[in-house]
Amino acid sequence: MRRPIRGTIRLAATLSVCLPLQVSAANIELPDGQGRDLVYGNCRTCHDLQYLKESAGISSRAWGDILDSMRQYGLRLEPDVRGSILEYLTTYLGPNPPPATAAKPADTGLAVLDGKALFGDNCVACHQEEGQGVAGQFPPLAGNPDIFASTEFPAIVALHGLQGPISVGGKEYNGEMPPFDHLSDAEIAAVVGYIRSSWGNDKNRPKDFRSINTDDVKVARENTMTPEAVHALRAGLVKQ
Amino acid sequence: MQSPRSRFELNRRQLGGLAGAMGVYLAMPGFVGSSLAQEAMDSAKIIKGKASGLIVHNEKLGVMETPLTLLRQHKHTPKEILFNRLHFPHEGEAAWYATTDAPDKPDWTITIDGLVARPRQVKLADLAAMEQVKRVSVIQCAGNGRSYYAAKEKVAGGQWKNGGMGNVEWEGVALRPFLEAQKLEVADTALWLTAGGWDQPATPEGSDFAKSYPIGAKALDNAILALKMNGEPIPAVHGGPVRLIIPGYYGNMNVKMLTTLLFEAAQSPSAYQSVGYRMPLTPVEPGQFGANDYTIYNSEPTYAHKIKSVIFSPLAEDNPKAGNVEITGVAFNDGEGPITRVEVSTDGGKSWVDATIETAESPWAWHHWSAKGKLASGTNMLMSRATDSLGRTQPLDGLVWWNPRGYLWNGADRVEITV
Repeated sequence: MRRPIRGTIRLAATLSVCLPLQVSAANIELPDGQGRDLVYGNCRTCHDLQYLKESAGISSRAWGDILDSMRQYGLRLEPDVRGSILEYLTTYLGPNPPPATAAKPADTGLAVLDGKALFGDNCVACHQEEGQGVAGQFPPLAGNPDIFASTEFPAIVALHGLQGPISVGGKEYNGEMPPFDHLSDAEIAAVVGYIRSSWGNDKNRPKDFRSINTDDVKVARENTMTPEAVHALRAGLVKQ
Repeated sequence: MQSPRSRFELNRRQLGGLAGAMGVYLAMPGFVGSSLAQEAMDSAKIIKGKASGLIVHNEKLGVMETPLTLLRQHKHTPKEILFNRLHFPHEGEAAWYATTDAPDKPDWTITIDGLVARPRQVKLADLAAMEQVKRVSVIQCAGNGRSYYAAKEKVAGGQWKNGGMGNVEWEGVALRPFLEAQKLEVADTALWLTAGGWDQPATPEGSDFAKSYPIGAKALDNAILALKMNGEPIPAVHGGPVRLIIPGYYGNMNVKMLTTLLFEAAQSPSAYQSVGYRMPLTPVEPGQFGANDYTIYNSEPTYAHKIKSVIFSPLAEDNPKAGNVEITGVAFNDGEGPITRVEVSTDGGKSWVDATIETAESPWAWHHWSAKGKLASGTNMLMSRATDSLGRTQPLDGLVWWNPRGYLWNGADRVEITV
């Protein structure tokens, strides 16, 4: 009897050379809409967004079940946040999503943005309400000297992510922060401003420290970096 | 009858030319919204040593399946293309296992504890010095084929096609004689054996991964503490340095990076044992049974492989011509009895012929089969259906076992071919 498939292609020809794992895979984007930031901020701690994309089309009931089941895997959501996330998932990743919206209006940088609300949507799942982080898992932002490492540095981390071992306040962390480049320049500037002025951080502000503006963020965004490169940049900026 | 396979094959066929030529596969067959299209992720950049062109379901968890065009080329599935699924991010302290290289963990220790008078710690070197036995076994993700349930109602999670499986040679220390030799003095109250691994959840609130088996489970008679996969130390990403291999059991039951074996009175409270990776005991309907309705009373863990057959050729990618064709594939079950019959149809189940079945390498390995058929001009629905010596067979319509977490698809396989 013949082999099921004759070996027309040798394995060696189909296998790529082992490459160092420097290049991140595609940065997954979800449709723009109310509540997306909460999804970005809460779901990526444990898995990336492809699970959500692959699950697109399931019913509202099924999305609710999934959100509830995630509690056992560590997800902690306030009821209003859960409601907003479920609304987003049902609307944009449900059985009848709206047609893709037009591109976001140009970022004027003039809008008054609520840095605290942005922090609550995007950052709180890992860095926690009072910026205290989680020991051994997610570094604190309260009292963290990184946030004044340079005018742009926190924006660079937010835009491009950070991967590699770091020490903050004498404690070691070795996780991966994903990029939050779905946020606009003005939103990044607002959330960085909020972090720098909260939880006593303003006391650590160096004299004559220049605050970040949307143009700084725009430049940082255009200068694309891998999360590993951000880690290397940090090593040059922050005294360990 | 509905044809769950066809609506997805259509997508694949439409893209077939591109996919075949460039090694690019759409990971999201049911995906809606063209504005969200994105480049396919390169599996070789997610896990070091993996081939490019695997179908990626989740980067952060290293979840990827093998295109059948690669899977069918090998008697034993090589580490470069074997499907993968991790439960926690391979980042930071866990980055060491994001590779097909052997782990460099010479001091690896397994703790055996619980309801025993004499707890033990066993070193990797101790295991390596013991008698080694081989087990060729299919390893298969419990979610393999999940995408096909969408023909009834789509379920959340990675939309696996048929490539979440492989035929692998494992080698290691037979579990029961090993436990006997440890002279643990297991208490009569111990009813469950629970296996745990090195990996940890991303947040402290998350449930750790663990698997529990009734101590008397017959499948444990064949289980090994495996140190080798396909003749070399088990790749880190596939569970080295030591993986509990229970031949005939679904992938999640074969705990990777084994660190603990506990004798316990009850099964583990881990969400991966008590809610996740379970099947309802009786058929359920969308809307009447949800992802959180599983209890240890109305469902059971995804232990033994349900009987299954998968068509390896021809596939749509092969662009077969009209006329005589050899239809080939594999079939397997939990190893309780050999596959005795594989029926093949080229007309969507109106008529069937018996395939010739090769003797399998072991009770748990896959059986190759082949049958002669004819492709007509137009659309042909190829089907295959396996039966074993115990009379167990695949449902013609796998949707009868629809379940909200999308596990254990074993409907008669369907491949739509247009010539």
